[in-house]
Amino acid sequence: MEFNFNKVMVVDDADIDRILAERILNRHAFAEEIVAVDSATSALTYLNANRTQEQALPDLIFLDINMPRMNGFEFLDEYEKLPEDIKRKCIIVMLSSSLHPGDRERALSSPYVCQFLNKPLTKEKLAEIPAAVK
Amino acid sequence: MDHNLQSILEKHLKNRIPDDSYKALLDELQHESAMNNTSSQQILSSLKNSFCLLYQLPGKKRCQPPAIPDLPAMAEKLEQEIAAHVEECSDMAYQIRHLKTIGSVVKGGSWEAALQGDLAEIMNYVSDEMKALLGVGKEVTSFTFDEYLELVHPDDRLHFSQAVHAAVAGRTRYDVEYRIIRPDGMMKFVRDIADTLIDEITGRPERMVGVTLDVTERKGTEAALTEANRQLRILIETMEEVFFSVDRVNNRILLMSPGSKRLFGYETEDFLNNPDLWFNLVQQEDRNIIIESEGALHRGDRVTNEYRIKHADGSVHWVEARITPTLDASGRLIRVDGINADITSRKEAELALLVSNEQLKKSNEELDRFVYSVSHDLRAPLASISGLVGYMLAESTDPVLTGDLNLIKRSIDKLDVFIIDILDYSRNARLDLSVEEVDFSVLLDDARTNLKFMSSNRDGVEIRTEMNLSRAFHSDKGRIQVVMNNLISNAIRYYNPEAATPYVQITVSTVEGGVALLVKDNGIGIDPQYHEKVFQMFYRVSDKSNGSGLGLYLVRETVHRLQGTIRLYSVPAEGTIFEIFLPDLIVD
Repeated sequence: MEFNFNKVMVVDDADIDRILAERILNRHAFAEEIVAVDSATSALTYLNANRTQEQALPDLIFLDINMPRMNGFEFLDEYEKLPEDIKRKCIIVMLSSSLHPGDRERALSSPYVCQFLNKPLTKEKLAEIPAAVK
Repeated sequence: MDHNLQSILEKHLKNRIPDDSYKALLDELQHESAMNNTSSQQILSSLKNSFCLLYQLPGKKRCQPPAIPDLPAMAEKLEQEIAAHVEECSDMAYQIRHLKTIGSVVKGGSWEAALQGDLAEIMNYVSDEMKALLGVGKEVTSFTFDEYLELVHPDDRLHFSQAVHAAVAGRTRYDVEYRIIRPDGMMKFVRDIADTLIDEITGRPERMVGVTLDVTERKGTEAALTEANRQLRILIETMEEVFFSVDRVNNRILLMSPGSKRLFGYETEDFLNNPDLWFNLVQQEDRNIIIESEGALHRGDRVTNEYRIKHADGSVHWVEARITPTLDASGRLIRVDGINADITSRKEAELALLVSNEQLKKSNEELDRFVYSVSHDLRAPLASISGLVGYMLAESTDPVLTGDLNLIKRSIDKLDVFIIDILDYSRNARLDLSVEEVDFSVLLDDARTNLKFMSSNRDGVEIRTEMNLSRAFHSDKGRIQVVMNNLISNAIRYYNPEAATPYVQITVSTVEGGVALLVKDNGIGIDPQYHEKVFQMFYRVSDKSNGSGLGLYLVRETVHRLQGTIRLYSVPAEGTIFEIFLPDLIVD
């Protein structure tokens, strides 16, 4: 089977959104492996824990904005502080139901963010993501 | 003494009177001439006086007139010769001409009066200019002192006659000003200067020679000046503002009006005695304002400063100073004049306004965040449901379930549109315009992206765009986006399934003063009877639609907020055109 990405991470506090993302990604063979975490801190922990194993690091991250404790933007700030060997440019797709034009601009101003999508995630929106971001 | 005169004397006197007498006479005249640098005219009158010497020569002994029998004839002859000589000199003619000129230029006349006793005088020479000044006819040749006094303003008579008597008694000059009431009733201010001439023989005051000048005009100017001065003084003394003048060369305060007591709590003298007092009253943190304005003053520019001062009673006041500098020819600042005003209450009102404005801004921002938060929290679960329903729809093959799921999907979309409309409405009403250059190609691309995933656009309404822009355009991008999103989504929502190729055509063109936006579709159209109503809040033409009833209301409100206009043309089953004009809101 041909996958768009080897490993995709989903960061969302809402379980229904994580379940939906996993299903859609699987259904359309978007990712070979999916790592779904329920908070930005868990995502950071995962990245730090796997910094020495390159194959364990995700090729793409779907990131929610509104999350308790650490939100999507705070995650971006933390991501920037990570060691160079973990970071990859244009690796993050913001996935949010925010309508604030400022949120969109702020997200896209980060070098790590390649796309801003409004929820819900659908087959059509997946097609928008450039396949070769890695 | 000139040679002509000397030869006249020689011819007529030398051999006719005793040698020693002639010699004494010559000495006397020489002496007179050398001492007083006298003119021939004066020599003539002096000679007349000196003729008496002939009776007293030699020494102190009186000569007997019979000793020189032809003396009267001789004296007469001498007098004629000398007079002729004097005329020859034409001094008189010059002098008279000069006098006339002077008289007409200074507006005044001359006079001469013979004194009779100490008090009475008879003015027996009055120049024509003097007559004109007094307003009497040329036929009048003389006045007695009392007649003249009649012409003097009654209030000034005492003052005038005292001056005359004092001059006569002291054998001096007087210089007085008084008013003349002319026979024609006109009043003139005059300055009268006269000298007392002494009879050299008797030593008594003999006559007065004077000049009377018309100073009515000057007096008028003086009166106007005095009045202006008085008004200025009242103004300065009663106004709450403080007038000040500073000599910047010597750092001396020239003027600090009495209002300073009220404004600063210090008297005028306190400032005059201590040039540094004023600056010391300025609050430490505001002194830079004054120091920084020095540059402008040195350039000759007017300055208005606002700063705080500490009043003598300890209270702090806001002061506004409007200062006008004066530079000398070399461009050096020599003086400043200005006004200080207490602007404490204005400043307090300004500050209060600033604070409430700031609070308003803050609460608006908070409200904005709140609205976003709420809309997000409402939309997030909706998006979850929508996503899940969409997934189920894609997986399901059961027609009943698919039908039900589509109904759910429609309700979700309707609620979502409503939330977005409410959010846009709230933002349009509350937020200030944020004007910047608008790139319509980016803006329309965004609209296209936003609407791409609209579920009702499954049948594919083609979105066409056309740009005819010849210059940059400035307005509120976010608000134009709201307008375009609403109009395009309406066109998609109400497309005509009968049409071969459903489309919505957006044309953006540069027009005078801004841009024209044309949104044209071949959708189901709107019946003319609803054309006005569709712009009303919560008005919906079709109950089958997904609309919130806010869309077009929001479009029109937003266009108005952007100072633009909107027009609707629509024919049912043919299509709809929205024509919008938006002005360039360029900020200079």
